[in-house]
Amino acid sequence: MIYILTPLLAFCSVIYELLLGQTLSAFLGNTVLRYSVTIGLYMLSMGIGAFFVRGVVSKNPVISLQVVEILLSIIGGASLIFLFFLDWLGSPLLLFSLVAHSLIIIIGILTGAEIPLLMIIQSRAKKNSESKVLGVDYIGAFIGTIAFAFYFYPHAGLLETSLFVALVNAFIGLVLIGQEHNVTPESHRYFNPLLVGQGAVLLLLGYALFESSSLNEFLLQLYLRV
Amino acid sequence: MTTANISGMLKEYRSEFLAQFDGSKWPLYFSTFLLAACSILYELLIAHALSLLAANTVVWYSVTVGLFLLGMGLGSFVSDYLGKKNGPKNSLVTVELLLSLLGILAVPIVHFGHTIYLYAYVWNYGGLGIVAFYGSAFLTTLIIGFLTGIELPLLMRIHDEEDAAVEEVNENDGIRASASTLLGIDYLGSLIGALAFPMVLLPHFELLTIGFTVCFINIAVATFFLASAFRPRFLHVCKGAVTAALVLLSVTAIIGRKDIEQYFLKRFYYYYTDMTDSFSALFKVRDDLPDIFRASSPYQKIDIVTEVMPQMTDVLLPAYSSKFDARTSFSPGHYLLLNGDYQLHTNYEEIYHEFFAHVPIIASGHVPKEVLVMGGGDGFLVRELLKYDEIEHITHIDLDPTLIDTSNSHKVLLDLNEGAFLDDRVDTTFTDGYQYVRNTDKKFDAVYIDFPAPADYNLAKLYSREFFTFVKRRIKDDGFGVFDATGIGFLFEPNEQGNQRVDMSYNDWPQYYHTLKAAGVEQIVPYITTLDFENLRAKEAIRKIALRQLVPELTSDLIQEAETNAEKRAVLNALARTAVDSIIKEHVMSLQQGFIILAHEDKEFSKEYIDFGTDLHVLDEGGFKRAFQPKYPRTEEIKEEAVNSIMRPTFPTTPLFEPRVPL
Repeated sequence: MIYILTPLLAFCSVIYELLLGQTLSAFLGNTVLRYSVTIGLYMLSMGIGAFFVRGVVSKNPVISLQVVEILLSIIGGASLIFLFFLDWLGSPLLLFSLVAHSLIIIIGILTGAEIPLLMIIQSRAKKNSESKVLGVDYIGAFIGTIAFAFYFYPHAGLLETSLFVALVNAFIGLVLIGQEHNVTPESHRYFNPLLVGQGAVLLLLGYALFESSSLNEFLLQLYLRV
Repeated sequence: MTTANISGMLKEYRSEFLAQFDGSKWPLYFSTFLLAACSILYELLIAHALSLLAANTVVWYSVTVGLFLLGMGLGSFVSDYLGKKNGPKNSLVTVELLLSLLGILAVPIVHFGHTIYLYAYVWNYGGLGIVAFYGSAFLTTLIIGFLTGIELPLLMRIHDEEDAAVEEVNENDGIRASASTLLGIDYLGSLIGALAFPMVLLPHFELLTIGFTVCFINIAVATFFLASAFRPRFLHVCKGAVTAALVLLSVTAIIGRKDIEQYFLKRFYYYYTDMTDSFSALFKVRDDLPDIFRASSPYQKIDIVTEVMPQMTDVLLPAYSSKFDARTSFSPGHYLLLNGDYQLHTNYEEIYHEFFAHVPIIASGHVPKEVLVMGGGDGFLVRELLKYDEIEHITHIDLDPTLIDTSNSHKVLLDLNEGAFLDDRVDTTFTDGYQYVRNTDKKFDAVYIDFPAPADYNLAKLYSREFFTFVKRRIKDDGFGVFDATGIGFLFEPNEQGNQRVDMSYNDWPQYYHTLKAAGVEQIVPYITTLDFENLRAKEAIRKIALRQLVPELTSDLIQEAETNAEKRAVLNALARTAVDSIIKEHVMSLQQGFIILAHEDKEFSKEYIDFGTDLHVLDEGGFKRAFQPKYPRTEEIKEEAVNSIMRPTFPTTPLFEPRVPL
């Protein structure tokens, strides 16, 4: 399972990053700078995320992963909408840029935590699988970058892409239901509520995706200050 | 979870964070940091070289990042099997030597790939050329990623080896302690590399020079580890020799960087000067080709290229433009290119700029007072506008000070734009035009938008529904806006009345039209620069050339069959007439360029020509009337899938994979 989940997660997170990079360049200009900064921040924050996987976090990998997925689907799915609202509220460019970069870092950290968590779940059964997990992770990221440039951005558009990818994240969060046997008894009480929460996020995202064209229009009206 | 709980957790993280650094390991940490920065720099170098040679920055940045990551993944698979016998230090030295070689060669490889593409393109093997071009660039990225992927695990093993502890495995998560420390430093290095590229290196140095210089870091690291593990063995001595050779190579490259840069620029812009069917034609650059002027800014590469092949257009132009009346011979024309995208040719720029500047004013019936000009950094559009004394003030917005400096100092441009930007009535502000129209409250009688064509996702933003919504708000009720609509000038050949119908097969009109509709623009008026197909002076000028081209035809059956000399002459004249007509058609049509005027509902446009007494070289009453003649299809409802938005671009309309063919 891990060899399917890992590339999917990498696919999602790299698309979030490109999405935010593109939104930044749409709002602030200078594409080359935005893309380079986004790539750099993304890699750094992934490193930070991997560092956080120890202690409490790594003792309950399934619960941690559930939390990460819920956060990712909420933050990733809402990031674009949030940025448009921030702009509408008349945020100065500096604040806007800070928030957008923070979103890149947050998504990077969450993504960075995903892989080690998956590794732990996997390595309970099998040691030394880390380089292989890393490998499929990179493959997922590669497919994500290609898909974004050639399909998602010119055909689906920024909003639909963000909602779709968040939906995939939420779906992965629900798939963790099959990992119940890996949950430690003392943290088991978090397991079901988190699943329900994830389900709610999934439904919400599904609805937003269904209504994406009117949502898109609504955001544009905000942006254009009609 | 309580706050105390969380703060306890954070403290734990902090002490763990500090505890993981080992004082004696600083050279290792430093190497990791530098190497990560180098690798991401190489990756960005290729991405940028690609986007200069094939447009579409966003696409190439995304694809190369993806390939780089993929290569890293493959590398980390393989690294476990390396250095088993000779130790990780030795393997690392090899990896670094290879990386530095690739760093030197990365940009040249992409350029050579493009040369092969152009060559294949000329010989009608374009598809094969595309494979060669992208194949070489992608493979290089993949290999750099692959070597980078090997690097990190090797550094981790060096780290552990020095610890003498066999394998320090963290009980909790099964990840080596060294892994997370070095991974963190590696990521930090990547960030610094990624920041340095657009902020420091790209604005000040050529891509080639960056590659030649950055490779020294790889060489230095290789030297360090080679020295620390050196034993007088054959392999080690060999590696030492390779290191020395690489130093020599990059030093030579740095010294000759100007020549190397010119070599590649000439191979790019003058590719058509030698396309003979020989292997040497792939690499040779003729000695007599003039140097190419290049200025670099954070935003673009500004190239001025001298025309080296006489053009048919040069013969035609004096018939259409009075600018050449006083001249007996043509000075060579020059091209201006931004990031490799064609902007103008100095010999026929006034056709474009006179139609651009004056047609909307004449159609308005009166001259605007307050004018906004966005883009047009060459100064030619502003030069045209300054011909009206009635224009009181021109607010000029441009992103790039380097371009304006070039226009104010480069002899070719300054001669032609007559120092337009230095005029008292012109105020230049350096800012993003998109942000300017979004944030300003000022309104203008006329808004001129002269941006590069939407050949890229980020340029598409300047032709988006959002942008035009903002522009519309900046236009006074009886004012107008006008922009250069590349891709709507596709027309069929003129019919017998001299009228041209619009060829919709590759036309970008639907994108512009529906985008403007969606932006709420009430009046959308397209027009085309059209020269007279029946110009007698042009026919006379072309006739001689046409006759010369017809020499092979003299032996044709028609001539052979004609009995008397008079008959022969008649046949020849008929042939010449057809040839002249088709030559003029071809060239006039190649100069046709579309513009679109936007205005509010109540603004009135007249199709009557008014002479404001300005000094015009090309535009006359006939030209003005012909400009509005092509009829473009319109619908009331907005076609959503054609609307170009920052949320979903419909530009560029050209295939994303097509490499540039310069000029």
